[in-house]
Amino acid sequence: MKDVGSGINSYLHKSNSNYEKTFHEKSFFEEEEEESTDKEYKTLTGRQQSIIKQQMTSGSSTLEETKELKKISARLRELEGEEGDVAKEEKGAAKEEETAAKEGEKASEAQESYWKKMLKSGGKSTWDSLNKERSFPKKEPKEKSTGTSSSLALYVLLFIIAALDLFAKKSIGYEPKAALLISTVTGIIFFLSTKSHPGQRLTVIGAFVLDAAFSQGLLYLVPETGIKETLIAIHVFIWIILAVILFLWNFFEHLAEGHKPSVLADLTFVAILGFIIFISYPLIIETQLIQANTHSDYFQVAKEKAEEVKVKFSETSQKWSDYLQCSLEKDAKDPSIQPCLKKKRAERFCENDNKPLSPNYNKCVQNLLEEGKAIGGKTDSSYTEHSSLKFNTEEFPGTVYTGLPNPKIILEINNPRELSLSVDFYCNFSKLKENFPGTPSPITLTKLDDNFKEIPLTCKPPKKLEKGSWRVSYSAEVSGLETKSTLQKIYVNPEKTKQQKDQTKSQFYSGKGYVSSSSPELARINFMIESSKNPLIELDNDKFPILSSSIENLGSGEIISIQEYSIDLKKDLDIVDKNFDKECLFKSSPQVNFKDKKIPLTSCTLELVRNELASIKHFVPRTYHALLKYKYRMTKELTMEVAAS
Amino acid sequence: MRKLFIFTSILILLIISSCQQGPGEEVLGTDFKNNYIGEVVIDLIPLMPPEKVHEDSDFRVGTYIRNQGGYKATNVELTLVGFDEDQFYYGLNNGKQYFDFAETLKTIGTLEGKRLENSQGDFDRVEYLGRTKTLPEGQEQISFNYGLILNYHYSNELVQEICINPKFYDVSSVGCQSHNVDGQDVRLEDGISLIGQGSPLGVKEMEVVIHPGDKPTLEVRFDVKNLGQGIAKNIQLNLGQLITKPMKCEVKQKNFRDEQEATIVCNFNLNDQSSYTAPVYLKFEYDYELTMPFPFNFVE
Repeated sequence: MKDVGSGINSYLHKSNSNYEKTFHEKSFFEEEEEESTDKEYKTLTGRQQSIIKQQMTSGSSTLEETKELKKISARLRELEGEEGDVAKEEKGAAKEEETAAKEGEKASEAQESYWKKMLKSGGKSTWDSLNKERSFPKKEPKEKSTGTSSSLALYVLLFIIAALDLFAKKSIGYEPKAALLISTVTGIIFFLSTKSHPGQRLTVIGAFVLDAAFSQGLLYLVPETGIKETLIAIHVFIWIILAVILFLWNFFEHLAEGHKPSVLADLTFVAILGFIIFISYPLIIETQLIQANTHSDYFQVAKEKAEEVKVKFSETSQKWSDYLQCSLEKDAKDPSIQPCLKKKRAERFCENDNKPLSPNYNKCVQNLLEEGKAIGGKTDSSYTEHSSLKFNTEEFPGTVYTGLPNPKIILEINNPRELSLSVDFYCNFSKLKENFPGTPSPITLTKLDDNFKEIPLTCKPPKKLEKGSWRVSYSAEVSGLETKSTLQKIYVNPEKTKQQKDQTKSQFYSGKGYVSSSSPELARINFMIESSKNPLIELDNDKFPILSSSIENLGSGEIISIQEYSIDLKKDLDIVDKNFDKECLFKSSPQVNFKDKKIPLTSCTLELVRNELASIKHFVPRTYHALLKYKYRMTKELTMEVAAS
Repeated sequence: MRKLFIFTSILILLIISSCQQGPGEEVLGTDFKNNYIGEVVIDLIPLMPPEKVHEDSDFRVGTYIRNQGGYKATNVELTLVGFDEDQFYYGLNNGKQYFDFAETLKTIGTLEGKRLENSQGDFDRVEYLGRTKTLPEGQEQISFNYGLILNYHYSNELVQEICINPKFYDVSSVGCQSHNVDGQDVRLEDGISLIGQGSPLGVKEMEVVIHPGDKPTLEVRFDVKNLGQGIAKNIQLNLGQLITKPMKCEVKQKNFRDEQEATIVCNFNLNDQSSYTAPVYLKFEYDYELTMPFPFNFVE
């Protein structure tokens, strides 16, 4: 008897539960449960079925059961005359359910009527109709596909938001407070987007805590920790990684439930994988570089990391085929592909000026492999003024109503050192396959030595522009720019104890980092004597310091040419081999590859020429300067809508 | 009346007690070579240089060099370092002698230490004249540390009563059972801890070992440590004596310049088996270097 009762209750419970789901939030992934409930009903004995009927007609069930029966009754009554439109059915069911709840007596009558009818017909037709109703989602494959695609689309959107997060942080230079704000906004979007999935929501909260509290918090409070590199990596990559995790989580969850994702989902999956592998890797490396740089600037840490990553980036900026080749050529004893990548890059670099496999080419490759690391520099935030170029686009018209517009923007030139600058202007119109230069006004300006100058710049097309969206590109090529870099070193008596040397380094070194520094100009020359990790120079008879230098593009534009660079060693040190290494300290119009963000220059060996420094008793700080004179191009591209031709 | 008397007495006591020396000062009495760490120190004269020094202006770095130890300091030299030629004039300029190119050395010579005639020790005033250039373009201020490096030759002496008891197992021998160090009874086999001998490099601990036998020998080990703020460059042993007889001493040092500690081991052959207390005397000399950083603010 107990078994009979439990079987009935179980059926009633499941039946009711499935009924509710069907009319509310039923999804594909619940079909199996329904089918099992149907089967369960069918497995009930005739006696059990008759008890169900008896309970319903006699009204002797418990209060809960009565309510459930009322709902089923109402539903069944509805199904009696309806087999049509699903939406209408849902609406009717909801309405009927509400009515049934309010008018209990009416429902009881309906039950009686229903069961009488069912008993009369042997229950077959009604049961069939119930089955039909239960299986209606199977007839709607569109919903299945749409449901999967729409949820996957949400995760793709999250991926885009994570990418925007990355771009936004990169554009503000990972300034700590702004980066925290961006992380918060991203976190909120992620949080809201995963509200239907508690597990994912928890993961989002975890990611936010990891980013904001753990990573950014620790970097802010304890900048110099042993795990700073890991913290930076977390801060930079966390949202991208989370977006990928959430997407894959959802994707595989659907697969695990036995549902084939839509073609769109498949394509998205492949696209994301492709994006991760082929597009985002250099971007991520670059972004980590910027973060590491900024972290250095704000907290004077992570400098070494920045150097390391910058070098890596310059290597990864080479062709992807290098990665493929190096992966295939990988030595089993040395699994690292870095030496191979470096070699590939050196070979490509040297091919520009030398015939492959010629002696000069081999020497070039060898030199690059030995010393090819473009050394880094540092931005000194204590400089209150620096040169800058900026396009102000406030006056640029978004829409014009003529085919011959003359759109205007303003070039703002900050020139606090009042250098005598010259500017050549260029502009260009483009639309799909059309691309032609415009006529800028002014075309050129010379002897600009104002502290601050705003130059209105217009661009006139050579012909009437057709209606539609046009890209207008403005360029300003500024010559006469100069950047001074500074490097402080301390000459120390080599006979001092290690403790004294450490004390000298910690108490008396006032340079900004151990590499050269400059104000945040558009480009600069970086240079290093002896070591970038130690400000001390200990000179004894058989020690010759090495001078290395590089040119670095710090702005968003391009270095067009270098007028000259020079490094002043104040006659303290001089080049050992003056014939071979004369370009080490000075060169005018060097021919280098300006496309690289950092361009390595020649390294050379130095010797001490100032006697006073050879006989110092304690230590002497010496500051050296380098000057870079260069021409720089800033470009601004804007979209203009031509409404009438 | 009685209350007034009590109040006045308390007030007088307070005033008298406030005139006593502060807790930081050493109570030396007339022994300037024991129970404290003394050294030659650098005191900056207020406003020399001022808190901020402007562009193109003269300034002075002024110091007092005080010998606060118990010995005569010889070859005293003070070197000014850390002023970069980029921001400061070197050499002769407009008839004035500014900093030297690398290191500006001033020789002080000799400074007597604390003694009965001058319980504060000798001092000397040293001044350097400097002149700023202009700040680099775009910078409003440069802050850094400059250094004053004091070099001198100094010495250290130790006189310590020890117990000599060759009859190690004869507890009834009465020559000495214990001796007093810093107010504590110290037995023969104990190490003796010392505060200092009025010098930056001093004996911090000593140990007396008797090797008994027919011809007993005495071994005294002195642990020498740098107790001051600077760096001891070397150590030269002058003399080790038991009463008036010289002991055979040697300095054992692994890497004195880096470790800043050494052990001096002295041996003496005892002629008889008698027990008695006797003073040991040790003197050594060394070169000492004290480097002090001071902040400098160069503003527009």
